[in-house]
Amino acid sequence: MRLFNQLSGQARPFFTLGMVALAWLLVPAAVKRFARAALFEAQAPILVTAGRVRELQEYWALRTRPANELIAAGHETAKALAGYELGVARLGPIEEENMRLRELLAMPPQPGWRYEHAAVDVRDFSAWWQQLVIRKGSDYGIPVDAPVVFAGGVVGRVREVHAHTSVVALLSDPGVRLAVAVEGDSRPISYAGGDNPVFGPARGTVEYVPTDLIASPAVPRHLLTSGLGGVFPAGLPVGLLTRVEPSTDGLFNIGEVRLPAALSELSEVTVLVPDATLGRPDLRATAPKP
Amino acid sequence: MSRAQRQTLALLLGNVALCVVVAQANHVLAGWQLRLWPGGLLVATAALQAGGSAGATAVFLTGLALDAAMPVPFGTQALILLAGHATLFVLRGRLVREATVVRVVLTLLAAGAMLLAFALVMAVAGPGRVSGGRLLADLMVTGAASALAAPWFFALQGGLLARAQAGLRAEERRLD
Repeated sequence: MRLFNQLSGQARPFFTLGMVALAWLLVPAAVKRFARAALFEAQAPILVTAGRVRELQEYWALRTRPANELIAAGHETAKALAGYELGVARLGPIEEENMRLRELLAMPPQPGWRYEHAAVDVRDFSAWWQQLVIRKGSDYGIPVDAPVVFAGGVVGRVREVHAHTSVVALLSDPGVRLAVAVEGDSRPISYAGGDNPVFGPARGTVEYVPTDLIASPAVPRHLLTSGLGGVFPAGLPVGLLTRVEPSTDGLFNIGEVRLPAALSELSEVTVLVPDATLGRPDLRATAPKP
Repeated sequence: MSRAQRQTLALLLGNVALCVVVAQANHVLAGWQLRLWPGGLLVATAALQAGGSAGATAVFLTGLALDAAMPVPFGTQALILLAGHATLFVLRGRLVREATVVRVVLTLLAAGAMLLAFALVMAVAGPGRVSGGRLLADLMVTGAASALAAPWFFALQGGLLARAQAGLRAEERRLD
């Protein structure tokens, strides 16, 4: 304390900074984890309220639309719904056949997925991370690492779960890695989130691409989840492989993946929650193209 | 409650309000792959107008709240903001810090320096390399938004401090 009092006014703030930094390094990791979780939970009501206010704005904005526009939108929705109903009707017999074949081959039953639809409260896309905060958490049984999807394919995976919210790391997050495969080819490829340029669609990169696989911006190839690793079900669209080039060792190719533009404008996503009591549908049969 | 505690609370409240506004702006800017970083504004009033310990406490707690919502080592932004606060606090005796223009310029300089410091930390602790173009774009958007929002935010902080009866007059031309 005497030393602190002797310090001139100029050096005191930096001395304090040094002491705080030193003390911070010595704080146990468990205390930091608790503090982090507590601070996130303290912010969560504000984030959720902001999301709800945004929904209310959209609601009132829609109320100003002319009735004719709403009727036309209703017709479009009805058409899409009819298409989806047809798809679901086709899916039933395929699921049953799949289960019969699995029984015949004495294969162990696969766990199914429960679909949890959740609103996006916050989109946070920085140069180092790309994440969403969604309005469902442990209150809906969402586990860490659960896959998250939308109509265009994979969104990402759950990174953190809190009481009423979860944080989803997007496919474009540089920290996300998963096993993918080119459509029509079963060989696995390693995907990682990549550099995300300003004003452009998010991008990813692939490694360990077999050298006989060719792709270019003019002839892109669809990338789907491979199902390896057990996190993502097989057959979900990931993006378009737009470029491949030889890697430095020459054994494989590396490449660039263009992710769906809609990924950065999501307002609703679906979390696939593993559920052993349900049969897992074959998503390859109904997955839309990116 | 002491004057310093009231000052800390008032600054903290203003900072939380700013963080909420910035989070909403980032939600919209995500479509263009742009992001604002409010660091410069968060430290400006606390360092230039408030008492040393009150400002530092408010800035450190705000940094921890930012860290809690982001996938960075917990405490990274808190320590960077604290370093920015310490630097501005030391410099404030030599500046005409009552002038809004001076505060805005210092906010921009602090924002740039702290964002670069954050980028350096993330280059070591982060997931991988990021493009310089993206960083520059974020820096420019942050600078433009900070310059536009600074007068409003300074007025907000001043109003909150006045309501908490912890106004800035007593801190003028003093180091602590």
